[in-house]
Amino acid sequence: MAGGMERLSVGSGSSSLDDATAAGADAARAALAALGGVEPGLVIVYASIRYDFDALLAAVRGVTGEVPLVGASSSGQFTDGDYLPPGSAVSVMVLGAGVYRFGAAAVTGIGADVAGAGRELARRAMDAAGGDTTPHSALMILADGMAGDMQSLLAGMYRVTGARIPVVGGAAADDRTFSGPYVFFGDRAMRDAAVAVWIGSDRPLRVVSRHGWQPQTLPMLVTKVDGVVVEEIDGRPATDVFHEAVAKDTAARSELFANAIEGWHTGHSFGLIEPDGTQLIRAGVLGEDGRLRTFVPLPEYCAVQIVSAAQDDLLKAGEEVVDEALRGIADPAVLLVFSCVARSDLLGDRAAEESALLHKVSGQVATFGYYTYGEFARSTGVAGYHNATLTAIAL
Amino acid sequence: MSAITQPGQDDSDGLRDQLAAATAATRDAYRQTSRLIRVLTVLGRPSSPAELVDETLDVLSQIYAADVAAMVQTTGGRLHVTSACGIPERDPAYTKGWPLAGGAAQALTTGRVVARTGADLDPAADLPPSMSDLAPGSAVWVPVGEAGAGELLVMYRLGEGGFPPGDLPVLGSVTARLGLAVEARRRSAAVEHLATYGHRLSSRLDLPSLFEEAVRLLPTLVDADHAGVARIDGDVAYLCASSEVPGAPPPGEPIPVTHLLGWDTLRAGEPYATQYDGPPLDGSLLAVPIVRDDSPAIVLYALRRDHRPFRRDAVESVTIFGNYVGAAMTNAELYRALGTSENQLRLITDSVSDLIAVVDAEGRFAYASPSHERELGVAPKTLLGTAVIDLVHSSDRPALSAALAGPSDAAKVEYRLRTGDDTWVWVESALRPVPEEDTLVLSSRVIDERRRLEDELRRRATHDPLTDLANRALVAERLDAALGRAGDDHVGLLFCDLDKFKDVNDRLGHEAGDELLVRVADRLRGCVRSVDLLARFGGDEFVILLDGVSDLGDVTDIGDRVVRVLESPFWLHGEWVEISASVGGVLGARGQSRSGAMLRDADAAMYAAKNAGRGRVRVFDEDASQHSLGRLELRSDLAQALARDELTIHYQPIVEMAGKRITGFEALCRWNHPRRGPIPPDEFIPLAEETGAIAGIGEWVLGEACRQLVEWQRLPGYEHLRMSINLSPVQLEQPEAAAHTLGVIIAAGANPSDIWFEITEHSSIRQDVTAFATTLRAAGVHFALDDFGMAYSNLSHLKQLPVEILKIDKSFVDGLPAKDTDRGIVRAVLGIAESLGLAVVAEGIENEEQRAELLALNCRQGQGYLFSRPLPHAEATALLRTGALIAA
Repeated sequence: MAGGMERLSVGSGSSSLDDATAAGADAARAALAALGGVEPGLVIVYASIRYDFDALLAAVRGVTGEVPLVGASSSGQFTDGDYLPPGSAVSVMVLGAGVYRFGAAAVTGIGADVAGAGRELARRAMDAAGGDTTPHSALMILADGMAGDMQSLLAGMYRVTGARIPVVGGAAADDRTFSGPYVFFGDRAMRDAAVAVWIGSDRPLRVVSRHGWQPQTLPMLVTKVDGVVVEEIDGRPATDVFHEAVAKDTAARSELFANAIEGWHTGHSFGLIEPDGTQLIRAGVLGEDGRLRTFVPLPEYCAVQIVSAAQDDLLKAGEEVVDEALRGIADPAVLLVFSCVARSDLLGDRAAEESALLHKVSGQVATFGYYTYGEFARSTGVAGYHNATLTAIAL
Repeated sequence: MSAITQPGQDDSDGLRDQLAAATAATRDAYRQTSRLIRVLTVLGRPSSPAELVDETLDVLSQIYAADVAAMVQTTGGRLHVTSACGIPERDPAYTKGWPLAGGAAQALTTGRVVARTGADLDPAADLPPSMSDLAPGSAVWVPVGEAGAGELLVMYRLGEGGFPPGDLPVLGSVTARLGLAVEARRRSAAVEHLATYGHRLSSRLDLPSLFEEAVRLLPTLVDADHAGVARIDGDVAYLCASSEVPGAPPPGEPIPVTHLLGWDTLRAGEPYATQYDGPPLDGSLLAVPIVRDDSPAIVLYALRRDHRPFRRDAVESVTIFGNYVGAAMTNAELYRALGTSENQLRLITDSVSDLIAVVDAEGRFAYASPSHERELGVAPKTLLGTAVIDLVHSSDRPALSAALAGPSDAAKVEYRLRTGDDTWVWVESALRPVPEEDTLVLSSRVIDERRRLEDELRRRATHDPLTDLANRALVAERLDAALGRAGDDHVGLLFCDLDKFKDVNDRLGHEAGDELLVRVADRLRGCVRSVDLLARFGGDEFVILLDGVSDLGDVTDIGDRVVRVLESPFWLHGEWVEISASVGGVLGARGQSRSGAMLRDADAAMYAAKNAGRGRVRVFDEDASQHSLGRLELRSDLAQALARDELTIHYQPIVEMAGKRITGFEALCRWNHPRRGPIPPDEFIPLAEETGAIAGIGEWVLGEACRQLVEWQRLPGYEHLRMSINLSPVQLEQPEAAAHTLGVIIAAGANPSDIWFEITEHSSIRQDVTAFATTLRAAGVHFALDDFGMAYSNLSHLKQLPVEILKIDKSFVDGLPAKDTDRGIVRAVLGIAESLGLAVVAEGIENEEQRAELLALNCRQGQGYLFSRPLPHAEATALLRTGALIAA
């Protein structure tokens, strides 16, 4: 690892076979073959929840052996330009050993004490990598985002790692069925859990994110929240304010999810105003009970704008992420990408266009990712859990 | 404009730019508001002191985009991180720290917020060494808490953008609030812990388990990592209990006392706090001695690994805790003595010959052994045919009857028997039935001596040996019993603490002190009824349990009696000794009140009495019993009152009395508490002064009043209207108070020469007032001396101050025109004023007679309800517009 870094070897494969064992083995074999004989260092698996995960993971490990494995259930995947829609496939990526120092770890029961779980996860991952010994490092997290407030998970990790370590990753998804997502660690699929990979490196690692949403209202103060329920904005019922904004914004798409959460206006979200004036996106859901909810609790008295997104802006954000993630990084081999399921919904028929575009802009660099229920992208301060956003890291 | 741009496009571009600018401005304003409120929301949420700090740091990191937000503490010229968001938990900045220098040193020295950006940031001085590779682009240091606390909030940003100067005042204010909130949480947590710990300690009846309990409880009480208890025995100390501290001496190993850290301080009975770098006790150490018989018997230790120093509140808590441990030790020793005595007694009584008797089916003696003659002075033959029960004390008959009716081998019964010379002796009998004959064998022994000893031991366990008064244990037992009984009346409790008792001890010696306590006890016995219980809780603290009082008035009456009975001097060791007592009292309801709460509240009431001055009585009724807690709550509410818009200013006209023309107003701050309603200024102003909130409040009042004055001066005829504003001495402690105050006046657009500051006579003797007043007077501001005549009335001070007006206190005006003395004082004040060339304003004028009298005495100006009460600004404006005074 000393001196100039050699290039990381990577290999990926995917399979849409119906049988979990066959699909797992198929995808893993393809990934390992593409690695070209290099010793594997880390296996990443993203899979549709249609699979029996025990069988699937056993099959993957049958091919990759005892190499550390992390992964998550997804709502669609993309690998090297191919778009694999929700409910279809499993994707496997194998990263070669020796160039980076990987340390994989997991915590379960995160909902009981999310911040405490974050601290424990960061400690375990760091220890698994042999400590914080390399000049640079980053953390990749995959988590069951439905188990609790993921910003607290980040805050817990931040206590352990400090400002030096950027964080990238995604909340596991479940093909938009909302039956509950899983994360993978070794041969186990777990709920109410999170997995992390400590990535020790000789060169700087950078986490990049963009969303492409545009504000549609003047800024407002969220004046009353109760957990994930937004009760008042600017002292008025939150649902009224949200409805008005949606009604006024005739240009934007405001489609509902069919057979999913009733009332999720994927076309409109909250933009939490950040200290630098940018917006952190938080999706809003109008429930059947007439209440407005978010997936992540909004802080009381935070300043927000209601934002909406045009398809071209979303695609442009993807392009920008690739550009910035690859800029100044010598000889990257792979771009690990986490894109929100809300983006693929907004893109509709053009969802496949995003995978193709990311791959095209990345050039010779492999792209590998999945559609998430929330994105981790921490680069400044403790804040860094997003919705409806695209984030990536180049290795 | 280029020629190819169409006119329509121009317009819409312009509009779009304007909209974008407006949106950006709104967004900015919302973000600022949001920042402040988000921090205040965290501060208002219930949490432990540590959680509060953690949560606030998380929020600060988010709202200021700070990569690092940390609390750091200076100790011994080094900075240590005590809590951080953004510094890895294993970083040496927590444990080893780094030298105090750069921005941190500047912030601590000046007491001001310091921000550095780019080239101004010196990596060697401004960063912990472990952070130098992060190369932050900017940093800000904000002092926390009182000056000299050595605590800072530090934030670093990795990016280019610095912390803009506009953000710094908000940060300063936020940090000040955090400091107050943490302090308030620490205090209330300590109060809560202490309330339960006394009981937990006193339930430990042997010393080893008592010390182990103390070691378990102490770290929680003062947020320490380790605790230990050392016993002092002559010239050596032994560690008798401790949590696992690597490097500490093993338990039981003798350590010369001279090797103990801070022994000279501990020997004098004073707590000792220090910092220790390196093994074996790397960290911040607090040692508190428990003094018995004039020398430390026990030393309690608390150790913080992270070097946070133990502040005054922690020292106070451990001292109180030490008192509890001392009391529990006394308890435990008494119990041990009781056990030993019982064992010895058993040996003696076993050797005494038993009384053997056979009792027939009717309960009559059929046989009595010869020992009856020796033990009871009754000839056995005279007993034959006599019913046993006839010889038994009437109170004990039911017990014996029950035993006779259902005898069993195991049963023993204790009762009194009449002797031959008509006295009673205690006997203990074992009853054994003889199945075939329908008779019982009664095997008895005289236990008179044992009963007497038991009574004596019980008495010792429940009484103070010096005064023979009840002790804490008995009071607790009797209080519980009294509260448990039904009844329409109530239970009162008085705590009396002797003022100046320590002086007596110091001056005349402990023997005299003990004698004084005995004499005080004798006098107090005269104050209580036979149903009441008089107790001494150790030291100079006496307690009276009043079993059966009708209301708080009764409690107060007895409290007054106690104060009076101790007023006359004591003849002690050849001289007259004067003492007084501070007495606190509470009233408890039977079936409702809890003894622990009553003891705590009476104690708090006693302290309130002490604070009010010696020789006072303070009682807490049901509502006021929460006073001390309420006060804590009020303190924290007050910190937020300004931000929550709960403060308003009322304006009372100052009038030229002859023509009733308004010449000025006095600005008076009012607090409308959201739940408690209006809080009187004499309650919240002292609180604000105590907590430091007065700085913000005073500045706000000054700014508001100045702006209001400017507005009023625009009304025709009021160009020379002036504004009187009260100034708290605490406000003068702010750095550069004079320049800052002048800045507020100028910023509000007011002319300094129209502003009158009212300072109290009490504060006028302070040196800093003179400097402050001289500077501001030079800028045109005027000064009035408030409440003149109430305090020192020292004319030499008057000459040192640039005072131009004396205000005569309402209490003197009240006496006009009837009271000669008051008229005399007013005339004297007017004479002094004239000789010094000062004007006079009379306060609290309520009727025409008073006005006429004052005018006759040549007092020209005044204020009071006769002219107008203090008014909200709108009403005051209306008054100025109409020119009509309410009572005119």
